[in-house]
Amino acid sequence: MEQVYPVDFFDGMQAGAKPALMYFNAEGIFIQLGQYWNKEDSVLFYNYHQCKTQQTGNELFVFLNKDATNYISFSVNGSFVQDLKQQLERKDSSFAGSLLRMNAFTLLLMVLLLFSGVYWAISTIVPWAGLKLIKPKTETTLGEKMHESMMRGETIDEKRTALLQQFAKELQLSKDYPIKLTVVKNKEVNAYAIPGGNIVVYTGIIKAMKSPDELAALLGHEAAHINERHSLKSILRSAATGLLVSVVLNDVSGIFSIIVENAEGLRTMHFSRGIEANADEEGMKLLVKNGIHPLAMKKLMQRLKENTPEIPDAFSFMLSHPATDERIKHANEFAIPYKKSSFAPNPVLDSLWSELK
Amino acid sequence: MEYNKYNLVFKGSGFEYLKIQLVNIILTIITLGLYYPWAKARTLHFFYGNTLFNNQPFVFTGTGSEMFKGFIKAFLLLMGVYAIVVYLALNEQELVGIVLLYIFLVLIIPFAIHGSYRYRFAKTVWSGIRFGYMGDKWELFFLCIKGTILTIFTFGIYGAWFAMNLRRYLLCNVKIGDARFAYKGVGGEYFWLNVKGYILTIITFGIYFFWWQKDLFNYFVDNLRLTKDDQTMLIRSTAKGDDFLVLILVNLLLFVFTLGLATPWIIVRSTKFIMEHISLDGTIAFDELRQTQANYSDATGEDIADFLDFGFII
Repeated sequence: MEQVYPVDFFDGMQAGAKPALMYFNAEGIFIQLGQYWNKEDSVLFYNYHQCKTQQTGNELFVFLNKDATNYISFSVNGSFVQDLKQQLERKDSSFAGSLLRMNAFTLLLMVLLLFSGVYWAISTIVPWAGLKLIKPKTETTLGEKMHESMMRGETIDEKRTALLQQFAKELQLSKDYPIKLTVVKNKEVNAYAIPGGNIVVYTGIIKAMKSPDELAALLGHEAAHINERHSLKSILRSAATGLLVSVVLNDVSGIFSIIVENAEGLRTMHFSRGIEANADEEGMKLLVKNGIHPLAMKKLMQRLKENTPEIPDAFSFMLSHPATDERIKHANEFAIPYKKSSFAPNPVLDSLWSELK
Repeated sequence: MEYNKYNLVFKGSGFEYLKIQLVNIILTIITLGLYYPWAKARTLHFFYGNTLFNNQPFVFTGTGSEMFKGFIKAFLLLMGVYAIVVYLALNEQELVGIVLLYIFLVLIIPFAIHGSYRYRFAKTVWSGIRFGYMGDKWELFFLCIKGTILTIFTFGIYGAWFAMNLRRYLLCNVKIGDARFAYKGVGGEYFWLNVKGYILTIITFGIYFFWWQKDLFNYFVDNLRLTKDDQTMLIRSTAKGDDFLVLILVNLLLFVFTLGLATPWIIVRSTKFIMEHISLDGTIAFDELRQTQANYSDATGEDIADFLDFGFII
């Protein structure tokens, strides 16, 4: 017979500890109430696989059943404790168990890696799926509605609208979208594209331009925004990160989310610069395709630069099109291969242009 | 009858809790959230196991798989409701959808609280003795409906009475073995406590806020008691306003200067603060508590409460 040890036993019927004697072997734990072992008295047996241990301070608790109503406790300094622990701690071989044995730094690294993985996945998958799901036709329908509400407060220049529409017809601007033009009576030097095919041009910008190829460059740039679905892309992008921020940082509110939001703001700005550069380039490709020298884009930008007031007002064209010098440089670089090629003048565009002016 | 004094002790460490949180986050992400119930069980085991009363730890005997079953049921139920609301919204019946959603939430919350109390207390064991919640779900339901309606019609003023009636009903039905908790807080006192706290906080430019927090905590703790036959245990708070000031300011600084990484330490020190500012004194002989409460393993209510994000209400 193995050695017996005194322990405190809790029987799950009454709260107080009862003095008991315990011994253990390969099968489990045996307990008899009382201070002296009596061979005739009944012995309680507990199989190891129901047992759970917990150490709090210097006290070891061994819960003997699933309900934790029966348990024994004793000091961790007891001579038998190591042997009993070995019996009880069949290594927790679950994945969670092995993670808990790793050090905190490794775990922290894993969390950071996972977070960036999830971030990457969501900010890639959501826009990708969105672009697949939303067809150009839907975009056009929605864009029409947006256009309608945006034009409500504006005065439309009907004559110039018709002329500009004819001008655009002479150019191949889009394969997927019906390009529809609207000229608005406004002194501001501005033009913008609405997803789905609408382009709005202010009379101010037409006045500022000096040649038909500049106008073609403008239309090329705006059509590129539409063809490349830039608005939809940035909407989906912010939807994706918004989703992520709300899911992941739900309970780590406050400072964390402020940092993320600011970082997101910077990224969006970067993204919108990328969009403009992309629209310039695609616009220049459209110009080449339509037999117009791509340097027209450069001319357009210089013209816009000249027309920027010293203190730009909040809604000026330049504000949403930053870093003009960089864009001029980029347009120059793009035009290098076309330096020697000659582009024939387009009489139809020229005559429409003079009517527009 | 012997007169005794007891304190609660919390022995958990922030570092240990940080590791638990990290492991939970890793597993929850790679299982796309399905691990959540097990993560919650692990967290609860940590907090219970490290809380000692009279040298014996509390034990949370609930398991991840029990809570997972509840999790699935709660998920299906709520998804079904949201699906109906979204369907209505898409068919230009947004208003009907939203009204329906609010009605559903008002109706489901009492049942979620009931389920969560039954499960949580049946799984709480101390010294081998189970806690238990004896409340009736329909009584609670009518209490909540009445409270919600009156709170709306009094523009929120009745909220104080509602909160106290709810707390009284819930806590008066909690037992540990054959001892029963009682709560004596009432709406009127609670209302004026908050009015006073609100006004003084404004007058003192926010400084009184910490004393307001102390008042609320003390109003909760000091009105609690435990009775068993003719024996009573009074529960008292030993927290002062400046204790709260130090606790909250240090927590804030820890959070700001570690960019939130110290959150586990903040939670652990707050738990320690709460536990160690509660003392019990009176004549109950805890060694004589008897097992009277049955086990109960349905965690659906607990999980609905989780989904609706209102945690564990007291």
